[in-house]
Amino acid sequence: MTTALIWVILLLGLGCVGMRRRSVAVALVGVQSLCVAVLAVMLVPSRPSEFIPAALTLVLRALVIAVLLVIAIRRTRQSLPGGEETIPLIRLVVAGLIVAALVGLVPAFGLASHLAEHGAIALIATGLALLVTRRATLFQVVALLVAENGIALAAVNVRGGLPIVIELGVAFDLVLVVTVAMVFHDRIFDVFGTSDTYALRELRD
Amino acid sequence: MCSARAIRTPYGSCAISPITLICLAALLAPLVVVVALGAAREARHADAINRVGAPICAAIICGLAAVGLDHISDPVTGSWYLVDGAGGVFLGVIAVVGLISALVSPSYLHDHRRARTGALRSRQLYYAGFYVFWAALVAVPLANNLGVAWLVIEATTAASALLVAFSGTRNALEAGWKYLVLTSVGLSVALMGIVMLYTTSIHTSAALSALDWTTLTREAPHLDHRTTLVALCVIIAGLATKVGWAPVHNWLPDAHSEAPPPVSALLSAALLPTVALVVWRLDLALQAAVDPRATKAIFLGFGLLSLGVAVPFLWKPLAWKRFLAYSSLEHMGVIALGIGFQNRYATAGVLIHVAGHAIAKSLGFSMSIPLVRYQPAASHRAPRGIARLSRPLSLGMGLSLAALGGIPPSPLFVSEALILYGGIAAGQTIVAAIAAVLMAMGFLGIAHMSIEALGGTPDERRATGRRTGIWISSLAGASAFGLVAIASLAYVLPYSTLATILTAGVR
Repeated sequence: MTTALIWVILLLGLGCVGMRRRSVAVALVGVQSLCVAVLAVMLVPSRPSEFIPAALTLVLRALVIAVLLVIAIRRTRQSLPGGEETIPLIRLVVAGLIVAALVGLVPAFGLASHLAEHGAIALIATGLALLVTRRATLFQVVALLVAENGIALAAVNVRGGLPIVIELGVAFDLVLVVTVAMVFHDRIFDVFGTSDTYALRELRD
Repeated sequence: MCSARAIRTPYGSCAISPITLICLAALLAPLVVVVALGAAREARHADAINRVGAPICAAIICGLAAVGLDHISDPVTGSWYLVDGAGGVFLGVIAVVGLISALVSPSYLHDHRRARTGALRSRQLYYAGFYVFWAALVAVPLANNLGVAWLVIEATTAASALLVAFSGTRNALEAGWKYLVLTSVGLSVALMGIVMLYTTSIHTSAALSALDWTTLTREAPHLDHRTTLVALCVIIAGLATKVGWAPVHNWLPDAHSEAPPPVSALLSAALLPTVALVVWRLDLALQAAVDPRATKAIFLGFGLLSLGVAVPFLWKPLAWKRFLAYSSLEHMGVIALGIGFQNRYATAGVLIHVAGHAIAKSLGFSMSIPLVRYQPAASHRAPRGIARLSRPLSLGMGLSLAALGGIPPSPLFVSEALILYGGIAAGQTIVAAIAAVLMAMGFLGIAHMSIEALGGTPDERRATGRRTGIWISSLAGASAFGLVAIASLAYVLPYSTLATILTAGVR
């Protein structure tokens, strides 16, 4: 069951790379965050009691971020942001290459499951691929979230889990950063008339 | 290493020790100012709260820095903090840079009224972001734990990104967005490295203390060497985006040039070196777990690359703040070299460099406020003929450039000499030689900027805006005094306990 869930989490990450519409990508990353939280909840019975608040933190984090992203999409309706982007197949190939390179480079580091280890690195690589291949501001936030889901996947698979202070702190910081990113997304849309980061190219030497 | 002891009263033992109280006060004082700002009813009230609050905050942080410097050989640890000599130096830097930045902020805010919000609201937003950023900065060197240090570094990103885009212009939004996204992704990578390190360092239950500096140092010999090296490389690569080391520095020139000048000063003179301290502490803590040649190579690589990327831009006629931003990249490169050489001379050089760079860069960024009053075009192109427009301003800019360029008796001359000597003493003669050539080229670029900016004939015939000669002269005078005082430390610091301990690591 956990193996299947990790595969679903990975495929949702790749889905974000391939999808054209912001709303679909946001939905996919939202579901991905919830899947990581569900994975943590599933591991609760085999873990010490300190793991329960960590799992609940992941659930709460996924819900809050999903709400923030939905609000951002509603406030900045745009027909086809990033319409000049590369075609999905090229994006997926780039993502595949980055994933293969990083998974091959990083050695095993002692998680309970090898699939979780590779999955965590693959998700961080997918986040990096999203960052370099997608131009809309919201997609860049999605890139950050996919990478953070990779870290969360690793964290829930650490024997005994991460300390709750770190789990809570990371969740708080992530919500804070996404909130600030949404403020920027709003202002960029107001000032530039688009959320395409291709417009943000005036500062050069 | 000693633990903070609780206060004994006639009624028994109090749970909080005096040093814990000072740590809490240093963290909470800036946040109290944020709360007090809510009571302001006019813009001038907010400025007054800032003028009163900043010296109090700086005094408390300086007090904590003094405690750290008083406990060089026996650092004080609490449940969450570490007060040691290195922390003392960096806390002192954060206090001084924060104070200067806070005191020049009203001058910036007076010139940059925002149409979207009123003067009071604008000030409340600015000061709230500024003081939260200051508090987060104080927490970084205090954190006695790698995980907690990461959390507060991430918190500085959220607070400072909004400040970078404070002016609301297109360029500021672009700079703020780049800063937020690139540093957040870098920090995510660093967090992955921390999870890897935690996984390899803990075998029983979830314990935050596994990431304490002292625990990491103690357990380092027992860690798996290969995994620890990979984790260390991932953490350093991630945090390098926040330090601004090339090639992951892309946000730095934009953010420094578009942020309000006081915020640029905090970013350049306090944030970058403070994050470098975390990297430094991690390297020292894990010395027994990894091949020291590998980490040396990483630091020397970042150092040379940062110098190599920065120097060509120091030769270009850039706008004042953008020029200072590339100077920051150069100096972060010098600091990376000092960390990489890893001996008492280079360590002393790094400490002097951090302190001297902080004063010189704070002065430089502060000068950009009157600069655009006297020469508005200087906001987007290289300044010209400032000496003919304002003598105090040219004095301040000249002093900043002379100090950054390393003209004796600038502390940066002394620190760069110590770092290069440390490189030769460490057997890294070729690296030291390349660095010396790059530093010399950087110096020539700064000399070129000095001649162009201060000499020549200005395009404008007369000064515009408010005349602000007195505070400029006062700041330049105080900075000159501070720079000479820091330079004089070069005679004692290489042979001090602080340099010895910092070279050996936190024990």
